[in-house]
Amino acid sequence: MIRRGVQPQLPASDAELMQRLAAGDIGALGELYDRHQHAVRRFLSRATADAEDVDDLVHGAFLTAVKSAGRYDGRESARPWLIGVAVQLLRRRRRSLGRWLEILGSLKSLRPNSADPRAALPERGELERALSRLSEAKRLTILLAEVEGWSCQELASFFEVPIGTVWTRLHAARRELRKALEPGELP
Amino acid sequence: MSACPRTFEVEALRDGRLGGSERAGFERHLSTCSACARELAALERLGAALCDSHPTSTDELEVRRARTRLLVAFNQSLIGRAGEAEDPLSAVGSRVSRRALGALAAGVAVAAGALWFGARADEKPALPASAVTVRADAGARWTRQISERRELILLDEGRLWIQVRRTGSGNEPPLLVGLPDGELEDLGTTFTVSAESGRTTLVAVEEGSVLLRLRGQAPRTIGARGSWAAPPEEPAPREQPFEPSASAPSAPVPAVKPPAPAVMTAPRPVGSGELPAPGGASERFKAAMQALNRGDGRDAAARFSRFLEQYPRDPRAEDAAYLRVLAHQRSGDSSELQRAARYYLRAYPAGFRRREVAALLPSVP
Ligand SMILES: [Zn+2]
Repeated sequence: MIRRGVQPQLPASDAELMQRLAAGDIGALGELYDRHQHAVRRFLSRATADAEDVDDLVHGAFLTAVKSAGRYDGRESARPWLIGVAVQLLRRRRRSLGRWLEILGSLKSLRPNSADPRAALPERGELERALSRLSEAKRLTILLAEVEGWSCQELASFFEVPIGTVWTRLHAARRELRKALEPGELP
Repeated sequence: MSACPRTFEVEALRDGRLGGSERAGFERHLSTCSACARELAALERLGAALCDSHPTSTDELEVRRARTRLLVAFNQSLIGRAGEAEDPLSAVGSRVSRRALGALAAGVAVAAGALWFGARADEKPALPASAVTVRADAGARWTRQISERRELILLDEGRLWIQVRRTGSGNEPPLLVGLPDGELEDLGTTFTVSAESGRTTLVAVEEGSVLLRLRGQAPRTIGARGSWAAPPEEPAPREQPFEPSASAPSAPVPAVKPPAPAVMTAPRPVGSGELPAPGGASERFKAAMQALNRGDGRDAAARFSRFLEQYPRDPRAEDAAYLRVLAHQRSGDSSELQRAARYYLRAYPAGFRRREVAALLPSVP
């Protein structure tokens, strides 16, 4: 219901939001979060194969995004960039788990006191289970390629590996996933 | 199943590994080879399955809490003293107090007695630079932070009345109200904002204007005497047709007034944590509550009616309108009860007790 004295305004583009974010505008962070948190959360929950610290990683990804907002390249959708930040965060966490546990621990202290109301994870489908059994490198590669639409060239430069490694990872990941989904149907 | 030695090229095609002439050649082969076509379909199925799969059930309320947590952390990082600052969300947790919603009418009357009188302790002293006065309902969960760069109020649940008095010196930090599903930016104003069950339910502006940004909606500015109310999540109770106030003997002034100079019926206190003027609205509200609590419904109803007439824009007006319904219920006057209930629904279409009040009315054919 809209009454007198209410005027809608056009929403800002992601690039405008990133600019405002770089200038410390908290409203821009809220808008960016509303637009992309679902995609980031979904990506991370699959990429980590366990939902335990997904909330902290989403939180960390957006906070990290804030710090680098000034270096945003201006592209129309911030989603690939945010997903990239999330993956970097995920991998750094694996590399120096101790330091990140400390940071994530401090993030956790900001949680509300109430018991975590998050519902238990639903029964994962066969595909999700197979995905969770992949190595992290293969899992990230196949998700970024098939779900986020990154090209093999983009994946190679992002992970700083030869493009042949990306192809190999994709091939191995598909093979394992298909083995789980369609047993006996592989050529 | 017929095998084909070129099947491995299907994946190469999909991953962009085949260049110009190789690609064209393999695409020609693909159009004639059933084995390779099957393989391509299988790869596409896998890609589609990966895109369609929804592994997590995201609890919308939890997402909104995470959003608040993020904004708090962001604000702290700007303040630059995240280590020393009071943990804002644990403060929110400790503020959780009696919640009137969902209680039986009699229980609600007792809890409602704590409205405003119980809210005082919730207020934090602001830095001298703040131009902001906040009053909260007793059950409100909210937190407040101030820095040189901005003042941030985060509302999780309940109702806040907020007044911003700018001196024009430019020294006061801008105010942002974080809501479960958006933000509200003050543009120099007095307003009320309510949140319920993880969403913003009402913004009513008395003076000045605010910029309201809600998730999934275009930002909107709300000017003086304008208001925005969330559409009901369930079908709203059918409202009684508007009755001219002449039909009501003690018809109070409607909350949403026609355009008129924004004159306060009582002077507003300045500065955080000040009690409303003694002997005025507060005393009258308290006296009406006392009458209700000692069981004198008729006296209580008359007192709430007078309160509504004299302080129609007081933040407690909605409570008074609701309590008047209860008072009539207690005194057993059903025609007055219905009149008071219709007034409440008309004046507060998004009010906290809308459903309870609507349930007191006979259903409209
Ligand atoms: Zn073939």
